[in-house]
Order: sequence, then structure tokens, then C-alpha cells
Amino acid sequence: MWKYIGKRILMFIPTIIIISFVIFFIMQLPEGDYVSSYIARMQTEGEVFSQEDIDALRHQYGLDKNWVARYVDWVVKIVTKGDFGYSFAYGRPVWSVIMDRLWLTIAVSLTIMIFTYLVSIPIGIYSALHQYSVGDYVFTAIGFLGMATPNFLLAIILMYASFKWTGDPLLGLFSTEMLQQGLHWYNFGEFLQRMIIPTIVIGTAGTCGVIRTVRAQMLDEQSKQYALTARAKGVSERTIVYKYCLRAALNPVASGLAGSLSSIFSGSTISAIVMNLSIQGPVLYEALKTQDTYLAGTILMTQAVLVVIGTLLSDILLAWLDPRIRFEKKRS
Amino acid sequence: MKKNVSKKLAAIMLAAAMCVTTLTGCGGTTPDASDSQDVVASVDNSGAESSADSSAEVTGGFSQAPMLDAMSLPAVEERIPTAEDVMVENVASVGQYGGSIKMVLTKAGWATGKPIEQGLFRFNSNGEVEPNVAKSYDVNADATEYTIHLREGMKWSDGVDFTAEDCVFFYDHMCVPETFGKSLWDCFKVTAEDGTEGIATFTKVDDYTFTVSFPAPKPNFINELCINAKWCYAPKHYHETILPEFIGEEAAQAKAEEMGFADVAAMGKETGYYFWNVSGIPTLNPYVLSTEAGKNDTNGDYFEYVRNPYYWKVDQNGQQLPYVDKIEYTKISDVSQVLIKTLAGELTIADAGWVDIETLTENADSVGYHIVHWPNSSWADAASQLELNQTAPNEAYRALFQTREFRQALSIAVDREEYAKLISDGWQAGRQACPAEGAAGYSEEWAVKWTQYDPDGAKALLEGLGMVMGSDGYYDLADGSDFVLNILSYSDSGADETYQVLSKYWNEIGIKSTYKTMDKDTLNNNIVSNEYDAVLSPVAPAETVSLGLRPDTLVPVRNYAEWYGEVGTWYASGGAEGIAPTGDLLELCNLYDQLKAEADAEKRTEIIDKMYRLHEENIWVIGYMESASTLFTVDNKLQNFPETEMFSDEYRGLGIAHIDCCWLAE
Repeated sequence: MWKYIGKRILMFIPTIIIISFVIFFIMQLPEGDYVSSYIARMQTEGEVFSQEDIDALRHQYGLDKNWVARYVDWVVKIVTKGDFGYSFAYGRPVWSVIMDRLWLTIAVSLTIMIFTYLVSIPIGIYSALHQYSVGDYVFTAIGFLGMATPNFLLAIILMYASFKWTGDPLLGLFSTEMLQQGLHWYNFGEFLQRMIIPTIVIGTAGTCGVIRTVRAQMLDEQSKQYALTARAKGVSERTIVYKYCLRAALNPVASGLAGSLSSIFSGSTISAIVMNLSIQGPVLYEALKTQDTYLAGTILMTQAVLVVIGTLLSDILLAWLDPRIRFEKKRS
Repeated sequence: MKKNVSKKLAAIMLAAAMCVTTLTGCGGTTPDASDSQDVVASVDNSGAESSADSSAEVTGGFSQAPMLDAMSLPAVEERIPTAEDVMVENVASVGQYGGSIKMVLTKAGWATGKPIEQGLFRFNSNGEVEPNVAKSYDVNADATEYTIHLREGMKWSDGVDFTAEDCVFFYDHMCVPETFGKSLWDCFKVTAEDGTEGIATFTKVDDYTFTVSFPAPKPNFINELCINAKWCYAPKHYHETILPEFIGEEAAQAKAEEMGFADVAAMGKETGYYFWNVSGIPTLNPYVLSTEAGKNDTNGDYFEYVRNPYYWKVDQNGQQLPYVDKIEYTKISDVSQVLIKTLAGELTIADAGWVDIETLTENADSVGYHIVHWPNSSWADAASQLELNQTAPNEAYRALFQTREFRQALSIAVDREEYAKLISDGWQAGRQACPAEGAAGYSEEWAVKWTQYDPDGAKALLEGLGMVMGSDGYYDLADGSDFVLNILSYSDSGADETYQVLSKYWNEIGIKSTYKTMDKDTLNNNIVSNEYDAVLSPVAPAETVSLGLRPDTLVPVRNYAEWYGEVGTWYASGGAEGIAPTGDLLELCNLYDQLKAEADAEKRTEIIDKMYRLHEENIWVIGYMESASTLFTVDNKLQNFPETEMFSDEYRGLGIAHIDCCWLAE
């Protein structure tokens, strides 16, 4: 087991090098660079740039070198100094920009993830145990509706409803007053209130998948021989369902966790923009759009690393969850 | 009301044009440099029509905002300039102190700067330059030396004296060495008759006087100063503690890191140029970025600008300005959220779009705001401007776009009356792209040139160019290859709607077109790399208060506007890069060269007029409808916010509203 984990960790290194290279390569593909998009923005605000100004900016940001040289510089600095570079747009070290929103992003993403599982696993079990019942159909319909409705649309509808009924569209996780005063115990309730729409909007998108997986797995497991044997031996239905079948049914859910780690880090993007949530997703979106290379690159790299780590963790989790899965080669 | 707006616009633009062509443009009483001896063009008493009047007497004493009473500050009289020099704003209604102006933005930048920016001089509503930070100025006979007078007793927001040293320092130690990433502005450069180029010299005379002298006549200096260098001062006592020239390269690097900037260059740019967005820098603005944690980061979700206790303007009753205590900015991630917040009554001043006009009008009374229409300097409705790349990458297309006949065909193919009705619900009228009525360069013929709907005439023009009707019902190029007008635009530019209508007309004359929208940045990248044929609703739409003041969107001075494409690069690089122009476009570049070197006011007017005529003859920018006014929603409680002003960058956008004079009624 430990040998296996060690091997997997060693495999991280080439994987991440390849990923970082691909990320950098793709990011430089579009025409132009940060300077051209920066100038575009400042020009719309009326500022005038001469060619010398533009060249000076390129030089300042190191964009006058070719992308391979910039990639090598970047990687060398990360490895030797742990320096991920500066965000052009913020004029600050990349990690200080990321840290600004990290905790809020994790809090929001975790809340949404817990909401998703808390809602979908029980519904999945219920649907499997009461296959083709009215409840099954109702939940399935709601689940599919949640998946089929674009998140941003649902967000707009809910914000509209909130605006109509309360006069406050609940835009953003904090009201202006909260932004002025900071988050305290006395306004924590309002924060939770403002979490409702994002949780529903982003959470429902994921529930359907989990519901269907758990339902299908449970149905499968229930008719398997070990379940039948247990039932024949008079084991209580409760034990069969929760101790045996559910444990096996959760396998795909556990392996699905591999990607969650990275999405906890970045949060959602489009919904976050629509609802004005100050989490990581919109920062990445903006960075990609304006070709803020090091910021976008670092966020994507971190996501990639988290996917790799997530995969390992979910494999370990699976082994723990399901004794049939073992890493060592069987000695014959 | 529409009539009024356009009249006002006409007056403003006419004045702006005069302003370029007269020597100093201050009040029209100024003698002309070309025919006067020993000119002393003081602007001291020229503010009769403007709201600012330094000579106005304040009866009684001075008073301050209640929020300042609690702070341990010197008396108000000691914080503002002397009674003779303090700037008195004759406000329409004398206000009361307190409250906050609430606004939203997607990104701090100029958006937070322009409303509070204080130039040495400023444009007033009539397009004339008037004193602001500076008290007045004199100019010598041949326009080579300007003497600028400052206000005695004026102080930075931290209480340190503001003197001529700060202006000279800004020029000598920041502009010339380019510490903030801007090459020296054109307003400080001059070309002598023999073609030699020189730059200005700043000299301190005394604490409140300095001179700016040029090696050759610089007749338009004050106007250009307003547009290029704007404020033209910097807190010497602050920058001496961070600039490498004074503390050494190493210490400056350490300072930059301490302040969280990537390097000295980034620090120089943010503190030296976009200073209003950095907390802790002394300014002369009415509002200063907060220094409190959680409220001082312009990259954050919320930040605020609080009143400058040393602000140097008072109202006619001697009340120190500004009236409102602070400006609160909340970050939004998408512009559509402005509407939501406006309807929720959360904003004091907000941008508004014509697309939302009905929703906004319906809710105005119940929420408690009103909609303000400001005319702007656009030559035509932006989404109705078609620009054909004169340096299109495809040679055959380029040749076609360079012919007047092709542009004429695309222009007369459209029934502008029907078009304007469809696009603007009758709010705007169909027209050619040209300066607004009454403005410099405007002519009635121009406004209607190539606007007579004539699809048959258009077809004849295309055939005259050798285009042949293909079997698919669309015109092909003379060599038989397909011709497709590939139009680009950016998301939310408004071109989605206008293209639908325009393409119908173009189809009718046998011009096949495609349309693609992309992100604005992406489109701009295409433009920079010259990978486009035509743009509807350009990133840099044709607009200016005067070709002489701000030519960028209409004269190829650099890679900028879509219609001239690589010619801009050619001009900016002195012919080393880009694509060389021919014919009238070359003539336009030559005229601009002449304009830069010309000192004589009359000749300048002539050159500028010639440039306008070239545009009129060529219609490089095809316009289908007049420009709509710029809209704001303004909280009904906000007083003194002007109902009509010219919205243009030259007048600093919202800056001309003089936010320091606005106040909130109970």
C-alpha cells in the first residue's frame, strides 16, 4: 500500500510538468497578450498610448520574450524560489491574489458540496427502494430539471423572485453594510441568508448526477446474490440496505470526489459572475480573458495538482470503502 | 427636449472648436498670438459664464463639514488657500453636508479617477478652458513661455503645502524620466519650423509661480495640457520617499515589495499615474481613498473615498467643499447588475443603457431616481458605425475597401429612415457619420451624404468596380472568387441588432456578409494583429470634440481605430512598420504633421478644416444613425448634478459634473 502511494506521488512530477507546459502553451495561443488587452481597456476609458509606451509595457511584463523562455523562467522561479510570478492585472504576487478569495471560495464550495450530497444520497436511496413510485418520479423530475436548467438562468429567476418579494435581489454574498463592517457574529445570519440562492443554484446542478448514480447502483446491488443470500438468511432489510448495499453503491460517488477537490478550490464561474459572488472562478475567467498569464497559469496548475491529488485520495478512499479493491499484486 | 440637447451639443462643440483655434481659449477675450504684442492673457477674470470664479468674494467666514469637527485639525481658514486665492464655486444651490454617493464598477481605473480628478485647468460646459488648481496663467507674445500662477496657502490632503515645486518636480523627476510608464506627452513637445523637436522646460519662479517654456511657439499648450497631462503636479514630499532617483534602486525595490508591487516600474505607474487608486498618497482631489483596512483596496469588493479635509474649494457661502462625506464603490462582476442595483435603489449615480430605457422609465418614480441625458462627442451611434479596414489582410478586399464607390454602395444600400425606426424605436434619426450639428467640421451636405436610399444605384456602383453577379445571387470579385463581407464586433456592443437589419439591406444589393462577435479584448487583439476585414460598432468608434484636440479615432496616429488599421502603426513608427497609406489617407497624415508644427491659429483652423473635408469626401467611417445621448440614473436626492453636459473623455466623463458641488437633500 505505502509503496503504491509512493509510486503514485513520484508519478506526480512528470504529470505536473506536462500539464504546466500544456497550460502555458494553450494560454499563449490566442492573438495578442496582456498588454494588448490592457491597452484595449484603458483606451475605452480614454487613455492614449504611444508605441513607446506599449513597448515599455511589454518589456516591463517580460512579454517581449518568446513564450518558451517565459515558461522556463516561470518554472525555474517556482522550483527554486517558490515564486509563482505576479499578476499583471492586480500588480501583486499571484498567491496574494488567490489567497484573497481562497477561504471564502472553500467555504462556499464545501457548503454547496455538502448540500449536494445531503440532498442527493438520501433521495437516491429512497428512489431505489421505491422504484417507479410517485416519489421516485417526482424526485427524478426535479433532479433532471435542476440539471437541465442552466445555473445562471435559475440564479436570475431566484434573484428576481427575491427582489419581487423582499425588494433585495440578494446580489453577492455580502451586502454593502456587511462589506463596510466586515463579517461578524451579528451579521452572520444575513450571510447565511445570502448563501441560500448560490447553494440552491449551484447545488442542484450536481444533485441529479448523484441521485441517478446512487439509485442505479442501489438497484443493482439489491438484486445481487450476496443481498439475496443475506435476505434468505433473515438479515434485516435495514442492515442489507445500509450496511452492505449502500457501501457498495457509494463506490462511484467516492471516485467522483477526485474532481471535487479542484472545484472546491475554484468554485463555479458563470453562476458566480451572475450572482456577483467574490470567489475564485470569476478571477480565473477574467485572468484568462485578459491573458494575465501567471495568475491564470497558477490557478489552472493548482487545479491540476488538486485533481491529481484528488484522484489518489479517492483511490485510497475506495480501497478503504471496498475491501475487494486492493493495490498489491496478489501473490499466487 | 431632444431639440434642446442637440442645441446644447452644438454650442458646446462650436466652443470646443473655437477653443482649439484661439490662442488660449479662455473666455474668448484672449488676444491672438499671431497678431498681438506682449500678450498677457490672464484668465483671472474670465470665468463670468462658468461656475468657478476665483475673484468672487465670500462674505462672512468659512465653515466646514460636521464630520471634520471631531477630528483634530487646524481651523478651516488655515487648511484652505488664502481668502483671495481660495477657489469659489458658484453652485446652483447651496448645499448641506453629509451622506454618501453610492456607485458600482467592474474595475477601478479611470472610472474612480475622472469624477474627482483636479487638473491645473479644466474645461467648462462651454468647451472653454478655465483655471482650477492653477489660479491663472500668462503667455508671452510668441507663445513660447507660459507663466502659471498657483493658489497661495493651498495644501495637499495630508496638510503639506502645495507649491510650484510640486509641478516642477512632476515634470522634471517623473514625466521626463518616465517614472510612471508614459512617454513624454505631446503637450510638452514642440516641433520648430526647421523640423527640430524640442521639449518644455519648467522653472520655478516663486512658491506660487512657475514657467513653462518651449524652444518654439506652442500656441495650443493649455488645451493640450488639459487633455494630455491633466493634473500636472505630484506630491514631491511623497515621491521623494519612493522614487529610485532619491532613495536608490535597491531601496526603491524594497519599497515596491513592501507596498505589494511587482517591481519599481509597477510602483512608479500605480503611485505616479493612477495615484487615486492607491491608499496613502496625498492628493488635491475632493475625495481621497480610505486608509482603513477593508475599505482601501481598489481591487477589493468594496472601497470608499472620503472627504479631503484640506480641499481648496468653497461655495459662495464659504462652506468648504465637497458637500457629500464620501463616495462608496461596490464591485460588480457584470454590467447587467447595474440595472438590478438601480432598481433596488442602491445607487446614487449609475450608468444606464438605452436597452433598459423602458424599464428604467417605468420604475423611476417608485424607486426615486431620474434619468439624465448627456450628449456626447460620437460621430454616429456606435453600433451603427461600419468601419472597413483600409489595410485588410486580403489584398483584393483591401483594394475594394479603399475605393469610395464601394463605401458609397454600402452606405446608400440602407434605408436609414426605416433603419433608425427599427433600431431606436424612433428615438434617433438616420444620418451619415459626421460631427454633430453646429460643431467644428459639420456640414449639412456631409450629414446627408450617401444617405439617399438607392439599392439600384448601389448595384450599379458595385458593377462599376468590376464586381460580377454570381450564380448564388451575390456579387463576386472581378476574378470570379466569392466576396464575403466578414464583420466582427464585440459582445454587447449593440451590433447584434444593427447587423440583423443592415445585413438585410446588404443582401438586397447582393453583398453577402457574415457576422461574428467576440470578447472585446479578443477583438482588440484581432485589430492589433490586423486580422479583420470590417467592424460594426468599433472598439474605437469615431468620436472627438475636435480633430485638433483629440484626433485618435479619426486620424491614423497609432494602431487604434479599426478603419485605418495598420496605417496607424505606420504613422506611429515613422514609416518603419505597418502599411503605408496612399491617396487621401496619406494626405490626412501629412495634414496632421503640418498641424503639429503649425503655430498660427488661422492656419491651424485651415488645416483642421481640410482634415474634416477629407473625411467628408471619403466617408471612411460609414454611419447609419445619429448618436444617442449618454444616460445616467441619478438619485432624486442628489442636488446640483447637471441635467446636460457633454460626455466626453476630454471633459473627463463624469468629472464635468463637479461631484464636489453635489449634495444630498434629506
